[in-house]
Amino acid sequence: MNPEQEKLLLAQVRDGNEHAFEALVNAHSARIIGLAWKLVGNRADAEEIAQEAFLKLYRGVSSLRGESRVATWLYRTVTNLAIDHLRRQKLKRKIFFFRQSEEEQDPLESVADPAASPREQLLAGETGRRLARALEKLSTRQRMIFTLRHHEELPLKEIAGLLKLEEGTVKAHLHRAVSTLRKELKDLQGDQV
Amino acid sequence: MTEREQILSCRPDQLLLFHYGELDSADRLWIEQHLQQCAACRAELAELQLFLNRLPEVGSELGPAEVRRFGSRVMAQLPSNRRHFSRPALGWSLAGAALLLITLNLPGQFPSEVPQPPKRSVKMSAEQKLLPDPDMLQNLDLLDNFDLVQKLDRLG
Repeated sequence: MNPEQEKLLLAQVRDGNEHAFEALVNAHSARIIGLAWKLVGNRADAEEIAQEAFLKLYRGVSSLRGESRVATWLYRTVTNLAIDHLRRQKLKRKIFFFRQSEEEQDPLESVADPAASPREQLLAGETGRRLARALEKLSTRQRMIFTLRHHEELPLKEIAGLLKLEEGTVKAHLHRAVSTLRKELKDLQGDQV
Repeated sequence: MTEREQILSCRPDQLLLFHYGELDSADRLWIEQHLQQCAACRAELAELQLFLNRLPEVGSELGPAEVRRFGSRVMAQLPSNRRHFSRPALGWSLAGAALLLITLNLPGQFPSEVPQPPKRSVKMSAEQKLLPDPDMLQNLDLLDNFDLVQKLDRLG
């Protein structure tokens, strides 16, 4: 969708045209759910977060003026919602599971996702599960920055803008994130696979 | 200088930024020249790139049908669509409540406009305030026969 089409749709949404809003949702949802999925690690939570972001867009459409792009706005909103979600998840686990060791797997993770398609099940293979566990070793901010840079391929400058951080801080977090992941997934390095 | 010391002096964080294309042109040129001379950094960069390229993708892209389903779900949550669902439900609830009240003959328990006792009592209390002596009210019946009393008085 080009910027002019988007401006037109936004103007129509401001006038109460719900079909225009539906067009915006359909244009952005695949990418936005994909982003949320990468950030939080599962599809159900990702869809919840994406839905919340779109409803926030609908409620706040009058404040989206000028050069603000819908995709940028949604990226920022989904990132913030994902940060909140992951922080709540970490807190819940601390409170409810009382795991003896951080190495121990969360019982919820060992339950297969009944909604997963064969392709998803293939992707959620052993390496994927290990990556998911390794990502949990990172701080929420490190995980966000690594995912946005590595999987979403966003420039660090843009990530800094999304997370309202200095670019130098983002670089430091990225470096720490990659160091931790390399330590956790040693066997993915060299010829050991 | 050992290989380890060499890597540290070469700053591995720069290699990470080099891999992601995040260095400015001057730093990028410096790293490219450095890599030609430094076998340790070349090995480190190769290992880093191998690791990062082996990381699997997280999640997967939604198909068109899933996108439409998600779109419908979001649209159903808009305030206008939620009202559509609640209006008939509210109407039927109110009708049911009214029928129940009629059946149980409860309207009599609600205030009616006919008696209006509070207004009347306010007026009466106002009139009472205007009277100089409340005891006079007890003798008001005597005023009806005031003329007769005067005649009897004149006749002696």
